[in-house]
Amino acid sequence: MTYLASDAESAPSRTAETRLQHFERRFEMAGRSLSVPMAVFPDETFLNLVVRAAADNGFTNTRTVVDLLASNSPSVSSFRSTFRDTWVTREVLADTFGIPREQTLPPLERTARRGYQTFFGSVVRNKWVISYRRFSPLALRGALYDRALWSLLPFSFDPGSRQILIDNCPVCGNRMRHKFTVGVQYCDACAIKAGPYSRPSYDLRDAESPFVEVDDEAGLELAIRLVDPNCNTRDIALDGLHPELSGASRSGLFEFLVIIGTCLTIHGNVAGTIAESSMHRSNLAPLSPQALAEAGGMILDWPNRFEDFIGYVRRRKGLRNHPLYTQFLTSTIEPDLARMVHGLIRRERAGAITKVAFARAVAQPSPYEAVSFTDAVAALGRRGPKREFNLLFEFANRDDVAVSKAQVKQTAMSHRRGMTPLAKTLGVPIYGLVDLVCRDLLPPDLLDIEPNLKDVANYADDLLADVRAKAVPTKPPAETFSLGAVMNALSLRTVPPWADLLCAAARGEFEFWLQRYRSSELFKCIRVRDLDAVRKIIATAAEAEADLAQLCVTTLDAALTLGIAKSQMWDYKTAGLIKSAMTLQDVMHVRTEHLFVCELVPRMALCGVKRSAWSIAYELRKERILPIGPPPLTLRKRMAVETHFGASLWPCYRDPAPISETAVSKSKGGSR
Amino acid sequence: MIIPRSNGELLARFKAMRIKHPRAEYAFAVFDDLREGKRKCPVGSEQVGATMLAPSHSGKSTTVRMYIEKRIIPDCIERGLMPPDAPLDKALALQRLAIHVTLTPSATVGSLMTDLLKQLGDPRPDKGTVAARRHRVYMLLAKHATELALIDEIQHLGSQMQQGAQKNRDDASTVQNSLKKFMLDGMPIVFIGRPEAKHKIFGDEQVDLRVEEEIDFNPLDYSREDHRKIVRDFCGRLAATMYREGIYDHIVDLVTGDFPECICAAVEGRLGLVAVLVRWATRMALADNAETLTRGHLAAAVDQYLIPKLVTCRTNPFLDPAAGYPEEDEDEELEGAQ
Repeated sequence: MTYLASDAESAPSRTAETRLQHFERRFEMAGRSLSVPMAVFPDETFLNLVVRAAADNGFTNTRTVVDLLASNSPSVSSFRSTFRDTWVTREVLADTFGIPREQTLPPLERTARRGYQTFFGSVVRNKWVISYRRFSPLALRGALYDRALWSLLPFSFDPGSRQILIDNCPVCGNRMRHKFTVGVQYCDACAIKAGPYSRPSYDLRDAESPFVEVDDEAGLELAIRLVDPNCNTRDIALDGLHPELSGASRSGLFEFLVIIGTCLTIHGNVAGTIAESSMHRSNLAPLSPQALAEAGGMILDWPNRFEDFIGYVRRRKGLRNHPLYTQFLTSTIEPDLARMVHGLIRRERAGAITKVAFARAVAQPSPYEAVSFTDAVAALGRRGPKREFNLLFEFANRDDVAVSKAQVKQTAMSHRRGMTPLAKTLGVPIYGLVDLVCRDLLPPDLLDIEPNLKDVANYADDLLADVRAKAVPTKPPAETFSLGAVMNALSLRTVPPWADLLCAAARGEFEFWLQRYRSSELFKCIRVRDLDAVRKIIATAAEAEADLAQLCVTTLDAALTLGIAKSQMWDYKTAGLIKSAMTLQDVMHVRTEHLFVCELVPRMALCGVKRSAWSIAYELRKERILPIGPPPLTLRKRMAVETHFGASLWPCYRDPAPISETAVSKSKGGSR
Repeated sequence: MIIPRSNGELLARFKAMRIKHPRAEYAFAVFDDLREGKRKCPVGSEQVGATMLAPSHSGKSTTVRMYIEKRIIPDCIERGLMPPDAPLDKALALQRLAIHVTLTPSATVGSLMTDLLKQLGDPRPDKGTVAARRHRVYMLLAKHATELALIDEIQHLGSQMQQGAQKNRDDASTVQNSLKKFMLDGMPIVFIGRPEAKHKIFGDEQVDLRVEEEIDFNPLDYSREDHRKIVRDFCGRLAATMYREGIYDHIVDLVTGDFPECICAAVEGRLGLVAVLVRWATRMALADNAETLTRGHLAAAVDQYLIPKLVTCRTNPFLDPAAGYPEEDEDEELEGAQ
């Protein structure tokens, strides 16, 4: 059977041979096996076993032991890493080393996938398995062999004795290798210097090294257990972890832990000397025990301490991109873990933004007093996940330019989980939801902006229920109009009177029906026939409380403002007619300068003219009053259209004050 | 009746025989003392040696083999180094408590180290420089806790040192020095060989003073009472052993009359040759389909085997009772011949 490494425990169990059988096998192998039979330690790598076997049998060159296996490998290092000699079975290895066949041999490392290799049942990065020796003097005094975990770079200490590992020979300062040996307790370079068959004067067991002191012993234990050569210890490593982490493999979790430890060293307050650039290379420097312990503690206390760390880094760095986001994005941890971390980072950032924004907003004595833009930028980051911040920072990047509290508050609200679905449900942009709260149409805690609050998408349930209760329970007749279309047709306010209309609908102040559409936007679903009643409500609606002209709006909010679908909004952006990062002022400018043909239908109806949108469009086409762009763009210049139709159109209401009835009757004879 | 029906089987059974005699027991005691001294002295302490110099076929090598079989192997089993039911031949091959090395006629330090490594089970006994091999020898001697080294055919070094090219003489000298160093570094050595090695190799005071025991395996003198007893006991035990080993279905008579004296005369006092003589006689008896071994067979064996091979054996004592031992004046001729 070919000796397949990775995990010695995965080999099928073998019947223990008798002493006599083992003795007779030793006789058969005489001349081909080592003279001194070896005892195998369970936490010893194959490379270390070869070195020890060579030393105990008097071979100073470790390759001699490999040669006994008739291997083609040029050195012991290449033998262990590129094992291709398929004739070297487990039985051959056991016979050569004089070990009983049923005894577990140290596993040979195998390539698990590109850049990774097996390590006692785990999978670790190739770069983490070092090619030189490290040792703990105290551990060597206990048992004279190199422990497997000493060859793993993330560990800078001996897990058993907690003593810091020594990388170089205390005498000559060189790195100790495996090619030449006169004994595990000696440095190979010193031995060569002393003479090939002489023992160096310095015994490594006499060296001194400090011991590890960490705050989080449980975290350190977790880091050790994840890659412990002892399979019994490894198997219980995942017990008791957070459910989000229980699906990860031990190896993936260990890599995750190491990367957290590296981030702690770079960005946290853990002592260490890892350069930030090392995160972008496959090389990782040894971690301090404290970093490992803290990383392990974060995993044990998932996700609380990790979220605190994310926030800590953000407060320290205040960079455009969260450093951890980039580092976990470029790392090679398991996709599920990476996704989870990215989600945490995004959520933390959203929470931080809303927290800071709200704190700033609340801290101001006057609702219109502004926060310093510099403070907002420093606290929230130069580029948040929402485009409105982009625009906010684009047009005002000086210290003396103020950002209104309302803007920050509105922008911060948009980060809250469930806001977008709520806006889509009602057909009201996010910035318009504030008015709904003020009219008690939505719960007041919608404005209590704190991170990680419950989902607000169902906050409109009561309003929807009230509206449905007041609606005429039959199918809407043909001569009805969409409430949203009527509102857009008659109002040119910066903040259209959503609240007033919904309030009136909920109180049953006008007759309306509910149309079932594929889209669930409430304003689209409400169909009205009494345009006069709606007109009066719009005309008498109160003005908006805050100046939101410079508020950055999303594509969805802009589409809801214009009364069109989001996909249509994208068409206009693609055509360059609307800036990609737009404010409410930009949107209203579009509305002021342009109109849709469908807006003309209710306006003509109010003047007693019943026409379809198609006939209106046909007439405009005949008059060469064409849309501003090729299909699917349908916006037309408002001035041209209103001039053409003149008195047939009911005028629109603009900010700040509604137009009086007298003004309306006077304007019936001409266009606005 | 003679049980084996072929000469090969006869040879195998004779070779398997082990017959105790006082000289062997004395050798065992010396070996045990050397080993005990090695065990009880601090590691690396200087050790002493012993010599066992005697003419060929005196029983030296057989004594060594017997010692390993009767003392070393049980010791290994008692110490848990091998299972109790291990076959003897495999146990002999794998034991390392006492190593028995036979020098080659053109021995050098390198070949000595190689021979030692072979006995110690090194898988690459000829690999490396002399220094590397010496290092491995020391390492393996320590790892296996070897307590005794028995160097056989030590006279080969003597002949090299006396004649031949300068290089050969230098080689022999360094081999001697290496063996001396083994003793200085804590390994007791028993030098086994022919008598001529005594003056030539052990003329070095450093070596000579460290060789404290001389195990006497010189030819037996039947005129001496103690030797006479040895010969008679040996012949008696030989007969009993032949019966026990299944060579004869009865105990042949080798002790009555002048048989012991004639046997001793024929083999010139060398105990090893006694068994050879009896084996040849048994061959004659087997060839004759005889039921037992007779005087005639012994006489025929002397005529056909010993007289042609031994320069000093000119007469057949079984045929001429008066022709016992060689006369005094022939001893000097013997020494000159050797």
